[in-house]
Amino acid sequence: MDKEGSPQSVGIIYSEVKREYFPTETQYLTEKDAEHDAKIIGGYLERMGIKVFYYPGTPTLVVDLLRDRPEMVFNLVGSIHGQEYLASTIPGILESLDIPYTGAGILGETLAYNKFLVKDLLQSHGIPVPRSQLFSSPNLLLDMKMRFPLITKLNEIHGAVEITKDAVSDSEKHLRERLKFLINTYKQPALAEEFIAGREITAIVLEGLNRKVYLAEKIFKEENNPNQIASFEYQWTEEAHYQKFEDPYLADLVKRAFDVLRMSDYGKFDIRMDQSNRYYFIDSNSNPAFGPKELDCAIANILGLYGIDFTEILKRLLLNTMRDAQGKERLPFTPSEGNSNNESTTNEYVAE
Amino acid sequence: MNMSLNRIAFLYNVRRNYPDPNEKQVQLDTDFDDPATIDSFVKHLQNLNLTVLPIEADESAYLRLQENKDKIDLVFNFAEGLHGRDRECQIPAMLEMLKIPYTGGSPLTEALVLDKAIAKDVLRSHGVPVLPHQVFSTETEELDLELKFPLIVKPNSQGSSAGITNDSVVENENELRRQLKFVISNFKQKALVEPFLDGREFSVPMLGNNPPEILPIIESDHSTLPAGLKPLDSLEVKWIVEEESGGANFICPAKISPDLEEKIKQICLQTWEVLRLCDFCRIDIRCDRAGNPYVLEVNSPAGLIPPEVSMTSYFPLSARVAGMDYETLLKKILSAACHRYGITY
Repeated sequence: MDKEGSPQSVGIIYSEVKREYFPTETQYLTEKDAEHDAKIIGGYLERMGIKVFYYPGTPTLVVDLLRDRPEMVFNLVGSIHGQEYLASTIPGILESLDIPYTGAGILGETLAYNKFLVKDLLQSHGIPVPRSQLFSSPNLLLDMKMRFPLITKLNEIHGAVEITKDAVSDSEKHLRERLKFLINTYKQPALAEEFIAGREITAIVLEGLNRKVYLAEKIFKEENNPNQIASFEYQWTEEAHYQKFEDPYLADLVKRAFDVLRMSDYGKFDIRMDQSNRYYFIDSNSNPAFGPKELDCAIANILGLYGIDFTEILKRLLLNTMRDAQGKERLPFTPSEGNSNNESTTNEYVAE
Repeated sequence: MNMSLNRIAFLYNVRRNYPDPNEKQVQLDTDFDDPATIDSFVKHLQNLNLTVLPIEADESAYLRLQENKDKIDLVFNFAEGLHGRDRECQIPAMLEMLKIPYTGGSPLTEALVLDKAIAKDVLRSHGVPVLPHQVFSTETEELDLELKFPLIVKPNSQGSSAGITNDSVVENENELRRQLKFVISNFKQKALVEPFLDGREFSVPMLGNNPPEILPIIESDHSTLPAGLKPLDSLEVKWIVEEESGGANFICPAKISPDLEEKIKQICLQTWEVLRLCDFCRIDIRCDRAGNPYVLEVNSPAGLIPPEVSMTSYFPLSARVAGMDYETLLKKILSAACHRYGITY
């Protein structure tokens, strides 16, 4: 660690990806570049003068970590052997080895892979979510309170996998077929939730010495169609288009959600605003795609709107993770910040 | 071909000092087990005709598990984890990575149970009765107006009554601030504050799966406590008074009306279902003055101190009342886990 608290050596742990680990091509696509992306991120760290070690998230990880002893690691693992819910094993191993790491702990990571539980928790803390129902079988009785159109999602998989136009059902017959496909293909429960037509906002939380919220609206190609969805195709095959969005009230809700879901360092939320301007949290991710603009990640694209480049993001995470490891208190959220500040003029570490 | 259970690993954490309410640092290890408990536990497992590999859940645990992976049919997970944000679920997480079957809850379940606040949030959202609570990161945060004194202050992620002493029950702002400061600085974690109930207090052991069996309910008899001790299962009561009295201050099976018993059982079964508990656990319940029961805490893994070390460990005591000796109890836990994984036992 140098005088300013930055580490001299960093590990990057990424998903080990093979096509046979994934039940479908679409899910494989979400992770196939994991090693390549890790190398791009590592390049930024190397240019900051940091020695970088690369590790696939496999059972031999511990031996490699003990050999190299990096001062901290970036945990970018989204799945182990294609199983997203096993990603939480990485923080477990890192904690037992007492190696500081970026991102959520085991609880935050395991929660992220149970969307139904996440919605329950958010709702119990007064954060609005669409009405939803979990289906472990396609034949379960549909809750009478649920109103069509309904959108179906995999309960334990992120990356907009199977969020296509076909994911929106206008009838019970279509819903049943969709549930049958999802549950049988991915061998996990599926979530049906009321589809909220309207604008879509993405919120990124980034912790440095303070926690800050950065909001941006997703601009779809067909701007005037309120039924647009951020589909898999949109997320993975088309260029994202964001523009700054401001609302201190929404920023406050996001801060609360970040705490409720036990996230750390950074996180991403997708929020829909209906035609009455009411917000609904439709997705959260404690370990979203992470990387610079050239990897087309929301975190870099959105923070770029606020004048924060990827090197600055890395600096904040490096310092925050090392501070956490030393048991230092994190400062509270900066009041009403994030969605209205001009970050390019601020360097929060000067205050330290 | 079905695998059969012959070789198990026993994962544990060991404490070097007996819990002492007057020693702040010692309280940090309260969740762990004495060396005598570990030795005795291993002997009982060996008496079940099993080859037992004891592994301390320290920094080398993962490597030892990995090296011995092919020689382990199942892990008896009795570990609490050494350090870290979610220490109780480190071992389940490692076992998932190594694909080794184990007793008890998944990483998600163990993480939820360890974080009392989030466990209460989840239970509340499913209609399980829990008390309103507030989580404090610093001792200076304002108290919610909804919370009225007397209140109780607990470490948010600690079991075995660690950090819960006579001083935990606070009657005013000054006492609240003092206790928040103690919990946050000593345990380096958030403090959970909730109303202090002084109604009847029960502990409910649950064993097996689909559905679990509810063993005889234990009631704390606070009327027998020495003068000066507040009516709660504090560190002083659990680790000193109960041991010295040989269990004179609790009653098992609890003398309880069929209505209340049924209510408690339903709440516990619902808790089990919502938190996806597995194989065995113990749930602490307390009633308000009107007799309404609330879930206070879930203990997973529950304490299982062998009878030759302590006759007052709740789970084995309740099993004995049900006519089940210690080794039969261990066998049932192993059997429940084996059944989930399709292992013959």
